Amino acid sequence: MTTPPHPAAVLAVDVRKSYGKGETAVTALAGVSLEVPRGQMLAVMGPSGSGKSTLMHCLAGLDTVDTGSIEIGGTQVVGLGDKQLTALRRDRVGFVFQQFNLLPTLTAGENILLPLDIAGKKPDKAWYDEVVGAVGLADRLSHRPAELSGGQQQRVACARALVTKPDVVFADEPTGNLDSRSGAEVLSFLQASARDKGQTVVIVTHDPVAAGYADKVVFLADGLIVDHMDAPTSEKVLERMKRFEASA
Amino acid sequence: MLRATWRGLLSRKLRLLLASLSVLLGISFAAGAYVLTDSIGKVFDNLFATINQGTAVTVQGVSAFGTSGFDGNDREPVPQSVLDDVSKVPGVSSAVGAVGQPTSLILPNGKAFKSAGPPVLGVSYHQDSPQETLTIVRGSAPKGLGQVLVDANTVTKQHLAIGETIGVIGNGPQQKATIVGVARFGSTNSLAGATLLAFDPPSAQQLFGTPGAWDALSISAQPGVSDTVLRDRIAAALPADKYDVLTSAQSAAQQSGDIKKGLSFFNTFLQYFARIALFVGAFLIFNTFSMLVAQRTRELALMRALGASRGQVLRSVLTEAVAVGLVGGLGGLGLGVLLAKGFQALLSAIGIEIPKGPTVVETRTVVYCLVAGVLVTVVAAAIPARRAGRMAPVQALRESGPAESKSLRTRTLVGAVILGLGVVALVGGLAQGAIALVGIGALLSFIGVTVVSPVFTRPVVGLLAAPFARVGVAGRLGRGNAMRNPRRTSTTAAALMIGLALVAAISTLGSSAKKSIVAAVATSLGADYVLHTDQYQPFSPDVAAALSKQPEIGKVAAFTQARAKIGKAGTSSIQGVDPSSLQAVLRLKVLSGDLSGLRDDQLAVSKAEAKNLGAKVGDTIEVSWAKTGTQPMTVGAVFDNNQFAGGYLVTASDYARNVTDKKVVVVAVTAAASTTPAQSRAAIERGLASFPNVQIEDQAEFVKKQGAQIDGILNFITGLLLLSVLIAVLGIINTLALSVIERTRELGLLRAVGLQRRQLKRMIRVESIVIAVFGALLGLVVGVAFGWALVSALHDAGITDFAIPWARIVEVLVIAALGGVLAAALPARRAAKLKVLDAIATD
Repeated sequence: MTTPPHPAAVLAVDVRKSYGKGETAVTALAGVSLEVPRGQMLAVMGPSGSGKSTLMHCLAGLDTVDTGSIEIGGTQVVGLGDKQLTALRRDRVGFVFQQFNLLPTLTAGENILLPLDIAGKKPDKAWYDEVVGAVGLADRLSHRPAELSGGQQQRVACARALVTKPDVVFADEPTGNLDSRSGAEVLSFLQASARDKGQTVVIVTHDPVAAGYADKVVFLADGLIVDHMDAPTSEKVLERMKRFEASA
Repeated sequence: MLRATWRGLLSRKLRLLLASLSVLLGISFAAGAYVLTDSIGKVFDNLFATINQGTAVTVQGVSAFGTSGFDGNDREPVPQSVLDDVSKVPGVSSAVGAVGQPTSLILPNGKAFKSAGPPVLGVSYHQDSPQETLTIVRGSAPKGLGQVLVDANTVTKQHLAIGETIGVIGNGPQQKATIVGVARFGSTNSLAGATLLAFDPPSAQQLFGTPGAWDALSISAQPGVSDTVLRDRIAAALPADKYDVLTSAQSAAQQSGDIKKGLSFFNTFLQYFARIALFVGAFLIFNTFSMLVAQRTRELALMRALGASRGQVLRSVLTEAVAVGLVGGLGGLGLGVLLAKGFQALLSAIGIEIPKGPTVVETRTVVYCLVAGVLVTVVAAAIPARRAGRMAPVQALRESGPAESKSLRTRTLVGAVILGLGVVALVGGLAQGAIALVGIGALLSFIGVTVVSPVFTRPVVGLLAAPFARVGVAGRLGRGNAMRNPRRTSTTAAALMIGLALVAAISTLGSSAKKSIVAAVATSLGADYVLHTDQYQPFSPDVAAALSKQPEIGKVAAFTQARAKIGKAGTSSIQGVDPSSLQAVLRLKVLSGDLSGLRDDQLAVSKAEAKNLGAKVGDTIEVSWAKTGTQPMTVGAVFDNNQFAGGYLVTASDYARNVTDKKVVVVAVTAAASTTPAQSRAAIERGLASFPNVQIEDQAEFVKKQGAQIDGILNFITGLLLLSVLIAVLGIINTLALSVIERTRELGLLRAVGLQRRQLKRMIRVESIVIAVFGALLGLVVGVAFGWALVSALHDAGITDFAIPWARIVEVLVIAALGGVLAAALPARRAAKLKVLDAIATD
C-alpha cells in the first residue's frame, strides 16, 4: 500500500441518507459521524431497521449518501464514480458477507486471490501463505465452495478480505449463518488480524457475542449513533441492548 | 392451479417471449411460403381463366411421358392437316394454330439477353382473333419476319422502344426484327416474368416452330355450342390417344396447374428450411424450460408440498408450453403474411414477376401455424415438464439453487445409441436415395450429438477458452461459467450446431463438386471449347455446320438432348451425337462394345445406367420416343461414367429420325493441330457471328463458370440457413439472460469485491463466444461428416472427389465468434446494470 499514513482508516462526518421522497421518505442515516482508527476492530450494533447495514454499505462504497463525507484511508469516497468506487472496493476494502461469499466456479484458493486477480496484481506470496495459514485452510485450497462447510466458507471469505491488505475489512453479520463454534473461529480470526496484524475491521452485527470480540462497539438506533462502549464483553453488550429494548 | 400457472406465466413473460420468438421465426417461414404460393396460385387461376375467354377448346399433342410444362416439353406438334380437319367440325367458329417455343433474344446492343430464370418464348400473334391471349397496348400487330411484338414487362426492364431492332434466334440463325408493338398478357404485363416475342403466325412457325405444324390449336365456338359439346365433337373427329382436347376451362386449370406445380417446388423447398428452423427452435424451448424449471425448483416443490399432484405440476408447465406455442404460432402467422411479400420480392429479384393479387391465407395455413407451434413447444418442453413433476416436496426446504449435475454416463450411452441409429438411417437413406430416411437420420444424429456432447463439453470449452483465460480474470471467470453446466452449454451450442452443420455439409458438397469438375474436365473432356447458351437453352443445330467450315477448328460434336422412356429405367435424358467426333471431344473409356462404330438402332450406355438396366452389350432395350413410339435398340457399347456424356447416347441420325426438335444443347469443339488458342477462338467467333446467344468457354472458363454456379447455389442455401443460425443466436441470448438472473448474487459479489462493469461484460462475452464457437465446431465436424457421406453417395452422380471447404470453415468460426459477441450484448448490459446492493440482497 502506498497510501500516505492517516490517523483513521475510516472517517465519516455527518452522513445522511434517506430512501424515497416527500411524505413516504424513510430516513436511514440521520447524521452519523464515526472514526475508526487503524488497527481497531469496531462492532456496529443496533436493532433491525436501525440503519447499521446501510451505514456499512455507505462506508464501503456499495451505496451512495445524500450528504456528508466519508474517507477511507484518507480518500474521499463521496462523489466517486462507479469506476473509482469499484477500484476502491477492490484495492482498499475487504468484504465478508453473511452468506454467499464465494464464487462456486472457483476453488477456495482462487476465491481468496480473486480481488488481486481482478486487479491484475501478483499476490505477495509470503502474505498469502500467512493469511491462508491463519484461517487454517492450507489443505483445502483446491476445494470448491460446495465441498466446504459453512464455517470454512466464511474463513475463506475472511482470507479473501485480508489478502489485499485493505485499509478496512467490512464484515456484515459474518457469523449469522454459522453454528457457535464455527462463528467463534471466524470472529477469533478477525480479532487476531486486528490485534496482531494491525488490520482495521468493521463488523456489523446484532449478536452480542460477536460484538464481544471487538475493541469498541457503537450502538445505532433510528439512523443515529446513540451510544458507544470501549472494551466490550458480550455480557456488557447484552446488558446495554436490553436497556435499548426497554426504552424503545 | 391454473391461476398459479397464469401468474407464473406473466411473471416470466420476457423469458417466455424470447422462447416464443424462436418458434415464431420458424413458423413465419412456413406461413410465408404457404401464403405466397396460395396467393400466386390464386392469381394464376384468375389470369388463365380470363385470358382463355375467347377460346372454347384447345388441342395439343399428348404428353408422351406425362411430364408437365416445367419439366420440359414432351408433346409432339399438331400438323396443319389436323387444323384443317378441326375447322370443318360443326360448331367451330374459327380454329387457329399457335406457336410457343423457347428462343433467344438479342438486345439492340448486340448482346444476348440473359434471363435470371423465366424463359424467353417465341410465340405467334393472331391479329383480330378472339382466341389471342396477347393484347396490344401500344403500336401495331407484327407482320412478316421483320416485325415483332414484345411483352410490356420486357420492354420496360430492358429499356426497349417501338422502332428499335432486336435479334431473335430460334431454329436458325439470328433474325433481325423491328419492335412494332408492346403487348400485355391478359390484364398483366407479363406471364410470370417470361419474355414473349410474338410474330405473325407464319413467321413464328418458320422461326420457332415446326414447318407445317403447330404447338397447339385454339378453337372458338359458334353461338349456342357449349365448350364441352364442341370438345367432344372435335375429340371424335381426331385420332384417339394422340391429342389432348380440352375445354378452355380445363386448359386454364392445366396451365395454372403447371405454374402451381413449379411453385409447389419452391414451397416445399422453403418448408424444409422452416422445419430446420423449427427444429432449432425446439432446442431453444427445451433449454428455456429446463432452466426455468431448475430455477423454480423451490417454487414447484412448494406447490408439491402444499398438495399439488405430480400431474398438476407437470400440466402447469405444459400449459405454459402451450401458451408459448400459441403465441409463437399466431405471431408466426402474422409475420408470415409479411414475409410472403418479402419472398415475392425475392422472386422478383430473380426475374419471376408475379401479377398483383389478394393475399390468400388458407385455413390450412392457420391450422398449420397453430398446430406446429404448439406441437413443437410441447414436445420440446415435455422432458423439463416431467422433471418438474418429479420434484420432491422436500426440495422446497433445501438451501441450494439449481441441482448439481448427476453422472453423465446413462445420458452418454443413450446419446450414443441415438447417434448410432441416426448414422445408420442417414447412410442407409443416402444409399437408397430415400430423402425421408436421410432427413430422419440427420435429425437423430443431431439429437444424438446433442445428448452426447456434455461429456466432452468441459475439456473442449476449457481449451477454446484458454486464450481468453490467459488474458485476464474476466476471461477466466467466463471460461468457468461456460464450463460449469455442460448440459446447458451443450444444448445451447447444439442449436447453433444444426444450422452450421448444414452449412458445412452443403459447403463440403460444393467444394467437392468443384474439385470433381476440375478432375472431370482433366480426365473426361477432350474438347478445347464448350459452346452453349445462357442456362443451357437449346440452340440452332446450324451452329455445328457453321463451325465445321472453319479450318482452324478440328472436330465439332453437337450434343442434342431429349427425353425418352428407356426399358425399365423409366424416362431419362438421351443424347444424340456423332460417334466419330464424340471420342475426340470426350475422353470416354469404353468398357465393352464399340463406341466409335456405334450404328443406327444401337444405344451406348454408361456403366451406372447399364447396372440400372441390368443390361450388357448385345442386349435389346425398348426405347419409347415421343415422336415415333417404342422401338427396340441394341446396346452397342458400355462406357465408364462420364460427367459430360450422361447415361445414354444414340447416333445423330437415329436422334434426328426419332425427335422433332433438332436443337442442340452443347457443341464441343477441338482446335485444329498447330493453331494458337487466339486463332482457334477467333475462328469460333467467326463461326458464331449469326449466333450471339451462344457462349464460348475454354476448359478453364468452363471450370470457373461451373464453380461460380455452384457457389451461387451454395450462397442461396446458406442464406436460407441463416434463419436457423439466427434462432440459435437467440438461444444463446436466452441462455445468457437466464444465467445472469440465476447468478445475480454472484455478479453482485464480483462487483462488491471490485470487478469493474467493463470486466463483467467481458466475462459474459467470453462465455458467449465460447458457447458459439463450441457450437460452430460441433457443427463443422458433424457437417463435414455429413458432407463426406453425401459426397460418397453421389459418387456415381459425378461427385468423385472429396474436398474440405477450409475457407468456409474459417468464415463460419469467425462469424460464430461475432455472433457470440452480438448475443452477449444484451445480457451483459443487463448484468452490468445490476445494482451491487440489490444483487447481494437477492434471495
